[in-house]
Amino acid sequence: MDIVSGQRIGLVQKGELVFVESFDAWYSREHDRMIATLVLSTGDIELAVEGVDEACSRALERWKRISAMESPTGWVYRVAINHAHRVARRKSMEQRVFRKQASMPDLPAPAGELWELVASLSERQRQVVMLRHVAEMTENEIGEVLGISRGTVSSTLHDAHQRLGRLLNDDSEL
Amino acid sequence: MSQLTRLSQALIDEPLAPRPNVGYLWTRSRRRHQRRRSITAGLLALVVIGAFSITKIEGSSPSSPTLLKTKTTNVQLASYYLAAGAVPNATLEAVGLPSKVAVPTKITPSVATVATNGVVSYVGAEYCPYCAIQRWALLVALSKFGSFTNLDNQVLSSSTDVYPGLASWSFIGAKYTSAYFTFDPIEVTSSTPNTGGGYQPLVKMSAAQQRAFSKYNPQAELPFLDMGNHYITLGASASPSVLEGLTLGDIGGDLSKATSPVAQAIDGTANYLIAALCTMVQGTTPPICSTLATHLASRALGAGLSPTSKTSSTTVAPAQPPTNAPMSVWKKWSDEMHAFLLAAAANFRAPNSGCTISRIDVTGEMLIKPLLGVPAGVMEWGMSLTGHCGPKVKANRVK
Repeated sequence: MDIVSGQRIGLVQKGELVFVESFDAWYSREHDRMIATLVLSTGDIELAVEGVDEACSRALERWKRISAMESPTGWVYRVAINHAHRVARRKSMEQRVFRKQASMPDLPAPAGELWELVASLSERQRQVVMLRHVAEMTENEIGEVLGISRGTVSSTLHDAHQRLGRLLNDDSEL
Repeated sequence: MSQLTRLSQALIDEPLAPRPNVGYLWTRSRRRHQRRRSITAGLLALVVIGAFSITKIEGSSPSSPTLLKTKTTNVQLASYYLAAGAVPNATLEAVGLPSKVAVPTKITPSVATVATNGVVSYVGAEYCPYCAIQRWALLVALSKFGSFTNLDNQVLSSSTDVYPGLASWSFIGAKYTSAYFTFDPIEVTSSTPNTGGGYQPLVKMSAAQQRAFSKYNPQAELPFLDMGNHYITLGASASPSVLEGLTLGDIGGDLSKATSPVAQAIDGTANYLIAALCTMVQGTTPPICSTLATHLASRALGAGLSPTSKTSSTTVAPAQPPTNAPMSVWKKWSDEMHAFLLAAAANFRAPNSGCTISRIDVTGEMLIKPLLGVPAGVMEWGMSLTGHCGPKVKANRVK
């Protein structure tokens, strides 16, 4: 644990003491935004919480390395999305094996209203839109998180905006 | 701001799920590692069974063992740690025993705290300025008996406490190897304040540390250093003020300058710690235990040689009286035997360094009929040990 004081953390990198944000400070700032992004990407609060908790736990363990990255938040999003996918796949398999009825997303307002708006987008479009407008990431960062090129991010975002614009009947807002 | 951003802001202002505390994330991390270990152990067992089956089928033993080696990655120690670990004996001699350094306290070993026999146990905290200076002294002293790796977690003591921002490091993640004893350090809190006015908790004391801490440190001072259940230090042995305004590099450099305030405080403390640690050595002692400074410190500790080598009424088993001796003589013998066993239990240390004694009990039994020359009506005492060597748990009763 390299906490130096309060919000900062001192690390020795290549023989030099450098200061980066402490995990606690980053976690306090980003947690709620990450939950909102994942809820609106997956439509499932439980899945979002599971993904974010797992990713933050892994980030805490490796904070020394992750804090030195260009976008620690991007790394955490990638892990959270991948973990949520894994859990969703496992759930879906269980539902098939045990013939369980898949539960429909039931989100409280205003998440429910937003979900209704974005549910018609493809999963990739939803992820890109949420990372751009809720997580407030740049197109480059989104590309890193989803493992796609910036051009793909840009065109996916464009398509999603057009679709949402039609739904909202207000292209200029997006 | 887009309409979407505006709508989603409500979800951030009023979160859909509460934010778990960092302790929960650590617990989750530990559970994940446990799951991984279980899976690895299962796979390993399958590999071993498979390898064993193949060996059997082939009817010959493999020419080279195919044991899986655990890869450990050691972090290169920074120059100031290396400097602290290599303070010359001549410097320690020159520093001697400064009057401003507190002498460790000799304690009467207790059966209840027997689990720290053979263990150097340190309980500190990352915010604590007194821990900052005591860690340096420990590093100097322990390096004479073994070596550290992975000392890469630098910390500054709390910026809001006395002696703010002292340069030191956390023992979390550090590794120490020695042929003489084990080192069990923990840092109970970080230097990050929490909402309750304290600091974020980090590591809990082990049961053995907790027992020794409660018994020998009722004021709960930090740091608490227990050297083999024989010597303790409470708080810092020297004033942390000598570290104020110095970087790790400054401190590391000053340690070898005998007249510097840093060396006087840290090396002076280390001299006492070394003398106390020398009492824990069984068998051949390292050269540091024969230096003049250690000899003088040892005298100051009132230790002389190893406490286990001292002869006193409780280190020699009382001779059994003749069968026809009066009951008062037998009663006295029984009391002496009880005291002897209590002292032996408190000083008992597992002969094999791979074994740990977790509990020793001295229990009495009133004889209802004569046994091996001891008449009925006499309380006979026995000692039971509980401990483990590796994964197995053994329990033996000895008399």
